[in-house]
Amino acid sequence: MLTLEQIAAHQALASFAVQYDPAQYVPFRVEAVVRDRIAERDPIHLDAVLAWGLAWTLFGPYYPFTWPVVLPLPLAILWEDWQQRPLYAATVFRPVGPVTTDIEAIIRREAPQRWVAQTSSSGRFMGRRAYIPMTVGTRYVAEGIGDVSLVCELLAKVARLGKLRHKGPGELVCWRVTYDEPDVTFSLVRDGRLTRAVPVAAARALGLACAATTTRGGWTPSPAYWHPATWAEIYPPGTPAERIETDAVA
Amino acid sequence: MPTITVVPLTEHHDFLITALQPISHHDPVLQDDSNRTLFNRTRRVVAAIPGAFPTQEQIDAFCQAWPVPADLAPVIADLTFPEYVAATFVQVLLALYAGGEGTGLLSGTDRYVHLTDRLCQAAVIAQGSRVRPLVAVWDLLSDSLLLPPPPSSWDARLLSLWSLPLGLQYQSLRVLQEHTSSVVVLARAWNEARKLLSPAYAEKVGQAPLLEATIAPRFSVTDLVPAADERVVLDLPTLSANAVRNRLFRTPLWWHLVQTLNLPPVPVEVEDFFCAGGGIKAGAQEPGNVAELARQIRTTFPSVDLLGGNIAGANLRDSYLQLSVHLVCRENADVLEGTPAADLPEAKLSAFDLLDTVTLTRRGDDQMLFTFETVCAGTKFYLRTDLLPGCPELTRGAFACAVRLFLSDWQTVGGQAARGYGYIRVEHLASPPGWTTDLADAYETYLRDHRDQLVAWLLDRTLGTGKVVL
Repeated sequence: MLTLEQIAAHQALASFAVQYDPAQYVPFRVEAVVRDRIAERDPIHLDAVLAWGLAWTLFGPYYPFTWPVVLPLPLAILWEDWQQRPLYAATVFRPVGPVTTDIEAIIRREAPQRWVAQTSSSGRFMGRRAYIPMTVGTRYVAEGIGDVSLVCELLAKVARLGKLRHKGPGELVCWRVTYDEPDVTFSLVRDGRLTRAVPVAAARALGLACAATTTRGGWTPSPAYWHPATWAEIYPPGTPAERIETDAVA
Repeated sequence: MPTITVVPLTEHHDFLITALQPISHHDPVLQDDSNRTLFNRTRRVVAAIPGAFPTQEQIDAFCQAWPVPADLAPVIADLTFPEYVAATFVQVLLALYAGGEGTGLLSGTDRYVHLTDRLCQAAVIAQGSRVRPLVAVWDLLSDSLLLPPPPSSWDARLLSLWSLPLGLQYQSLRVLQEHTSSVVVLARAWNEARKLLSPAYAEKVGQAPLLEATIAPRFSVTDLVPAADERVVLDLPTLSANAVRNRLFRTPLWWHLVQTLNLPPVPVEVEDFFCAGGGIKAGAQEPGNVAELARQIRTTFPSVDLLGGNIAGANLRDSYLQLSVHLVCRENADVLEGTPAADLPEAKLSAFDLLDTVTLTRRGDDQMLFTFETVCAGTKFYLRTDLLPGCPELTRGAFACAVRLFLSDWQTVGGQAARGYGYIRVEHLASPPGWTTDLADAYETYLRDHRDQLVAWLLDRTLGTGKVVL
């Protein structure tokens, strides 16, 4: 049963989506200029970032749903599954310019009283080390099709990109959103590879021929955070693919 | 071109952290077993260090001078020239010191473990050395592996190795940093094969001698020349933002809460939650109303709203405070660009000039030396904090309270504070217009006005939710 807060949240989502006008949607490119690095275990999708911005705009830190809820974004919808969950026209962020990778470790602390008891024979605090892969580089680019002004409004709420946002990585200097230029285009396939996660069923519907490397994973930002209930059999970003069917944009 | 620049709508503050004593803050990623510990490092992509590269004639001469046993030639042929130089470097070390019973720490069954650990450290440290990288690695290894000077008969060959063009040396150094284990394995195989070329040695160890002679590999100079905008990757000393977050915000705010509420001893889970962020208990299920629980806890305890945390079954979602820390140094010039720290005199110093090495003894059954890197007193770090949009007034008050605390007194960061390491002073470089630490007064007033209720909720581990959540 929905709580009053959840009903209000649904209404807030619907009210925000009233502004969306697909006639205003254009291809755009988002460049994230970060201070020095981002922490990421999986590729970061532009639509997931915008969903975070929408959730923060409407709910702050109190996202009210614990089950999958479609978050309406000002982006073109390429395909919907049987539950009307959308595949948005948005790619993952890819690094441009000089870039390298790194592994960093953080140590998850425990209460002082427990420090002695929990040291292990394999090194002090060994059991509480968490290793995080980093991408070291300052510029990351993604493309999409949508309402540029609303996209900018949502991006303004996002101050860090990637994981460990509160502990250093992903510090954004600014976002740069470019549109209405001949070289700004959106495509599900770039240089023979998928630019975002695409469900197997969507790939068929959109006329994509992909290499048979599927996995179970997320593909739609509902809810804004990780939730296995939204997973499906997908072709992950970077999968070799052919045939671009941008005409299939709904 | 229609481009819109969007700056995140955060309330951001700039601080400057100055080390009053050397900071001891080590790299948990390096899990070697040695008694030497490097300062915490992070990678940065910077403009290539200028340096000459060898001509084709110099490459051919090097290959003639350091031929490989024929058995290994197919393996060597697949290497790049910097990899070949790196393998040669290690092979020379083994040829000089690892024969027979071995020398220094290059003896006994652990000799290759010692070599791999020390070589990895030496290659990282050598990046910032003022001498040629391969010379620096050699010196550092000689020191850490307790090796005597090489015999004079090797002088000419060693000098030719150490005097390779600088650009090539940096490329080989990168190989030693990133592929230490495989380079040691290759050099070991090379050294063994070289020894088996001697029939006397082969007979002594009971193996068939290698009959084929050595072969000089071939490499092309065209594979070496870097592009005009070549970048290199450096491992720079860095202070973990997570450590700074704990030492400047989480821990001080916990002790402030203890003092302001005159708090009696609380359950360990409560201290864990406030002092370290808590943890989700194994097997615990997320409550169905986690958003409402989070709202109650975060509005009741503004410091939790600021810093976040985990109750038994759930994460309380994004905290309002985000921060990052950068070493003020020459190599970070582009990172610091546009910040108040960019023009500091320290921004002209190399990060590697700020490092120092300390050796102490510890007592167990017997005395043992241990060595660790520090950054020296006077080193500065730029700290940027962001409060996310919508941050409530009391939460801003908790932030101001932490700022007031760490601006008013020395703090420590990193390890070995009991020995005097890690004392820092923090200055406020820039803040939003109208911001003042007086915001902390409202937070303190809130705590005092609700003291009895807050203490009760801490002692019963409900945090104001009506159910035990820790």
